[in-house]
Amino acid sequence: MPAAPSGLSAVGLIVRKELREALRDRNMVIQLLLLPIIIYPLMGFGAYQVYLIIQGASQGQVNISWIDSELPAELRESLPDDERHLFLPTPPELDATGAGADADLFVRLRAEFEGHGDEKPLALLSWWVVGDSTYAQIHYESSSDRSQEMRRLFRDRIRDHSEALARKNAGAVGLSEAEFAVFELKSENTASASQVARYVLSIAMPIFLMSMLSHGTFYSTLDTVVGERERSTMETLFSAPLPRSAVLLGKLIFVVISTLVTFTLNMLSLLLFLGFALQLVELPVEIELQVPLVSILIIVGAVLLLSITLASIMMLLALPAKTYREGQAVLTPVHLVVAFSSFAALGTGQTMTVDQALIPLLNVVMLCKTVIGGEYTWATVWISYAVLAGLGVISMVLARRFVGREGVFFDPTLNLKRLLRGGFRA
Amino acid sequence: MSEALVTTIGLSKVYSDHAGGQIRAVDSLDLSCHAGEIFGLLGLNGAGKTTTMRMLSTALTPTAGRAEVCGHDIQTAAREVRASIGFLSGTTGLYHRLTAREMIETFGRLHGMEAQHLKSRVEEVLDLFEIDKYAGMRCEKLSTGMKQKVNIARAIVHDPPVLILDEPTSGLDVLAAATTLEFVQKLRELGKCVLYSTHIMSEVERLCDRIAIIHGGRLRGLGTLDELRVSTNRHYLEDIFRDLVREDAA
Repeated sequence: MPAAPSGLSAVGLIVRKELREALRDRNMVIQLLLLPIIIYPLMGFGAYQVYLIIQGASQGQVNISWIDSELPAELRESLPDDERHLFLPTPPELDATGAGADADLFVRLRAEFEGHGDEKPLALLSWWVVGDSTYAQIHYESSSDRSQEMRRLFRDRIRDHSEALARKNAGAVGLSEAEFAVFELKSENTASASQVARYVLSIAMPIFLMSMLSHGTFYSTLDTVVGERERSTMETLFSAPLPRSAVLLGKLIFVVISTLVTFTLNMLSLLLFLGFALQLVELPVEIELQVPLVSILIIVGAVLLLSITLASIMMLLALPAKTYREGQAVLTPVHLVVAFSSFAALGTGQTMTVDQALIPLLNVVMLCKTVIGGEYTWATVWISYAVLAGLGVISMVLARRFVGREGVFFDPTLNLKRLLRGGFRA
Repeated sequence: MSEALVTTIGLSKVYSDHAGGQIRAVDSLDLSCHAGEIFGLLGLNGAGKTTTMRMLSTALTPTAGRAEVCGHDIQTAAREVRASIGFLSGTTGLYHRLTAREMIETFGRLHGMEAQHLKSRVEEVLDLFEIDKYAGMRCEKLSTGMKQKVNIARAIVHDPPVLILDEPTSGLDVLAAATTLEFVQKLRELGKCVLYSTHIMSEVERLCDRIAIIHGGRLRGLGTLDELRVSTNRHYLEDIFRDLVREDAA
């Protein structure tokens, strides 16, 4: 009779068996490999469509009509004159609201808009407090994207035109350019392209990181613990001469590998997608995706520790579940808490405190956020690591104790509550 | 008679119920089973057969008493016991996403078989159970009878001296059950010690060299069919069983 495999060899066999099975399961492949890759292109496509809708660009030609025909020449010239914008003559019967018209947007310009003269107080010109005789009124329809788009365009053009008129009027009454402009406010973005990218990543990455880690752990734990039990193969497995701890460790390693693969694919997809999207979209600021190696290593450490801890906790909770459905019911709240924990860090600023480092999940989110942003302290890094490692060890020890209790697999009446009430004795 | 490969002495298992009471699932069971023997464990549902089998396979720990499999104590040498047995029950399913061959190979590896030996042994087992044609098919696509053949092949791939078969025909159709019984007989020819639990009288009559009748966790009768006939003065096993169980009820 052959000798039973040693501990490490047994663990390796379990991991191989689990991986082979997972790669042949369509649901697992979709959830752990395909979804993490396609999620950003899908989200990006959706976001681009929303962008197009907001811009009105996806809806083709915009019909514009104005009511008063005394549109100032300068304003008329500043308006786009291309294939997308069609300027319609004003229907004679049209009222101010534009009801019944064919146009997407109506502009009503009072003739007085152009007017200026001695009766206009200078202060009004300076501060753009418009009197009752000089104003522009835009009628638009908020449920129409094209109407919204043209509203923005007209508002900008009229503002420019108004300013030009004011300067002209100021000049007419003898004010110099300096007297007219009391002060000029300028703003300048001093962040480098890399800093901008890191800031954006520090906000976005914790959200994706926590979601994907939770997602990967959730599905692989369900399959390897609850699925195995539901398919009646747990007892088959335990009939082999393997220590239960080796089976548990093998399954834990499988969950961690699955989670890390899911996470890595997702991050690669994110970076590729961002690189591609940044080439397509014209941004108001320059962005350069570059994160220091130390930051990447710190995040990798946190991800590794968190994936082990999450795997241990989820396996621990899933052990008494007898069906896939029961397992989902137990694990979904944990999945959601982890996935949405990143939102707890929104509005917390760009620095991490020691208190935050002591709180599991929040510490990973904050660590990721601050490390990418480039503002972290090593104390918070080590404390976070220690907390995660401690929690992981406790969860693994508990899971080992639970898996050693025969009732976990053979008592049909056992549930999580009874398991916990029974204490942690093996 | 050859040496006993499975022995139980005062083997007992007590469960706690919800109300804090105790359920005596197996009560002071004394048995012994030998090489080349099919030993039937006959009892109604809930009689304690599965609990006994699970204790012998080391899945459950006895509350009292002791048992040995191939000279290994089930409590102190659980891994050695598991290495010496092939265990099959209604709750030992197959990995659906593995092929029949992979399933058998996986369990060979889990039992520590060396690659070269495993390869030839897998072919041998596939041939023995006439499943070589389906060896490349995933287990999920096999018929129920085929699955059971693969399951038995999985249980004996490491050539264990002891087979523990807990209601192996449960849920099988007539043909699949008949095929399973043929294979169990083959196991006896191979000199295995087979512990066979069932509640189907005809299977016991056809297969078993000795029979233990269990009821309420306790041993009610033990011996060959002829010995039981003499001790109860009944011919048919069903009558023998009813008498012994009724005695218990009384």
